[in-house]
Amino acid sequence: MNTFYVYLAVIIYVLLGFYIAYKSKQGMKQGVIEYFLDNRSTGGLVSALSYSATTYSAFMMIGLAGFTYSGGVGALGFELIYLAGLSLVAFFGPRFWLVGKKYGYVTPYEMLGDRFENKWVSIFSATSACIFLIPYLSVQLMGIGYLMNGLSGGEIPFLVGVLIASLLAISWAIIAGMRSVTWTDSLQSLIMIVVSVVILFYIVYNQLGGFLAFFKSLETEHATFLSVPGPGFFNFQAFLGLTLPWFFFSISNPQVSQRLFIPNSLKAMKTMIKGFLIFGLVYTLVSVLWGFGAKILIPGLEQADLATPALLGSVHVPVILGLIAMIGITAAAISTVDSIMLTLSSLIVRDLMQSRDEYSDKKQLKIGKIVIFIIAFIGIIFASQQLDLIATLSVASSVGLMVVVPTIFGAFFWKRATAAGSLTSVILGSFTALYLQFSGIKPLGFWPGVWTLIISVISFIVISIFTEPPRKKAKEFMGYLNKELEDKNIL
Amino acid sequence: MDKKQLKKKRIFWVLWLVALILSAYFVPFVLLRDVNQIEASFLFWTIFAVLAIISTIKITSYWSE
Repeated sequence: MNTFYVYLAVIIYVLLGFYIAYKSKQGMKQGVIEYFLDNRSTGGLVSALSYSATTYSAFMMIGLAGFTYSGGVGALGFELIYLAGLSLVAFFGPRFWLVGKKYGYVTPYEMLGDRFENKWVSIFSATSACIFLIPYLSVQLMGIGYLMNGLSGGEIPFLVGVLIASLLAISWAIIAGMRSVTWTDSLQSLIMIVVSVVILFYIVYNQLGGFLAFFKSLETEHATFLSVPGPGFFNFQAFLGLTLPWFFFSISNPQVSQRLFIPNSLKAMKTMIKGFLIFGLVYTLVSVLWGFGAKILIPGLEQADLATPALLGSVHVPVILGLIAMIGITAAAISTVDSIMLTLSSLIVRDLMQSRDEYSDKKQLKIGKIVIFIIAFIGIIFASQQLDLIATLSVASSVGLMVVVPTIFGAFFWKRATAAGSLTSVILGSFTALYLQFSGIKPLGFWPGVWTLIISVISFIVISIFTEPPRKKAKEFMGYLNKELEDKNIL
Repeated sequence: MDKKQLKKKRIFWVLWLVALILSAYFVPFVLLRDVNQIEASFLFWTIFAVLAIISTIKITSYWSE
């Protein structure tokens, strides 16, 4: 086998992606619900695979492996606490799904605006999401740029990788909206998991002498990497600062919380959760072990983010496997980027364009597609700046997105919650996140995520207590939900 | 399931999950702080994740259409 087969594999991946995307378009009607939510008719398996591919991005094999390389086992704890955060979906998932169907919501912020009877709640939440999700999207594009650049020994310019990833993501988001995204995501999730597992096994059995010898080497050569704070990066404050925003990821990030609207039944949602959790556990372990493998095989790298590209480009991995891995990581990035583009487009059409009802579905979709191009353009510009540590920037986005968490809890569990409380919480929380992130200040040693959550929770509660809630809507919204929850045994 | 049972189960699972998640901070940072072995924090966090997964799946198993 030579590299010809690898390039063939890349071409097959791209062509198969396009084939699936076009195939998904067949029989699809041209409406907003059809385009942004696949007409709320996605089956369990596709939901599970797509949720996995959307959640797990280039961050896993590059950023998380890099975290492990520089900080040790704390990286595993960090990512598994995120996975445990999926338990929130067991409570919030069916609630989103029920009210989504009943009131016809397309975005999570449309739901909040209606629940609090205040359009500004959805406008500010969506604006905040746009501000914080574009860096997150750029991080994915940067991942591909770093990877191609690293693997080619600098021959492939960083920006070329960024542009290739952007073009594929734009295409697969635009062809049939959520349907082409979920179908191509399913393909990509399979590529991600198969490729990463195969390469891990190759490295462990061919280069590290099997799992037992691998673990033994870790204990003898890098013992401190097996505890926290270990080499120092994962001290308690850093660990808390990183895990807190990620624990709430499943409800705070609209590109995944919007997925709670799309399953065709509760049974499909169950399959989605189950499938994702199993995928997540395997993918997390593989990414962390990959980072540990790099630590043993190529110690001494100055930039931890380069652990994966350097390992793949090293003598320890055959060129062909390295290039196949590149396809796996590219798939991880693109499946996240196209989902974010589609979600941001829906936020702009449904939440920021409050006069949307004056436009036909066709017009809304046309605007949505133009918006996807604009978002991609901004993402490319941001990525081309090559900002610092990829993982930290990705986490910074999660800090900002967390500001909507108190409002989501309030919408479902607190009749006394108000629009003023929500707005204050989102605005103050966003400013706190931005200020602390940009200034680098860590009051009392705690990271921005901790302070952002504290400020948004306190402001939400205090302002809600002193302002008037939408009593009638709260009673109707929660009354409907409580009855359904009881009928369907939902906790 | 009647309203009372539902509420009881809800409280039980929320408390269990909160305790489980707190353990993911307490055990590695306090009890296993200087234990530099694969059977320490690495194994603990893996078991923690498996328990969280089983718990989440159990909660969804109550659902009926």
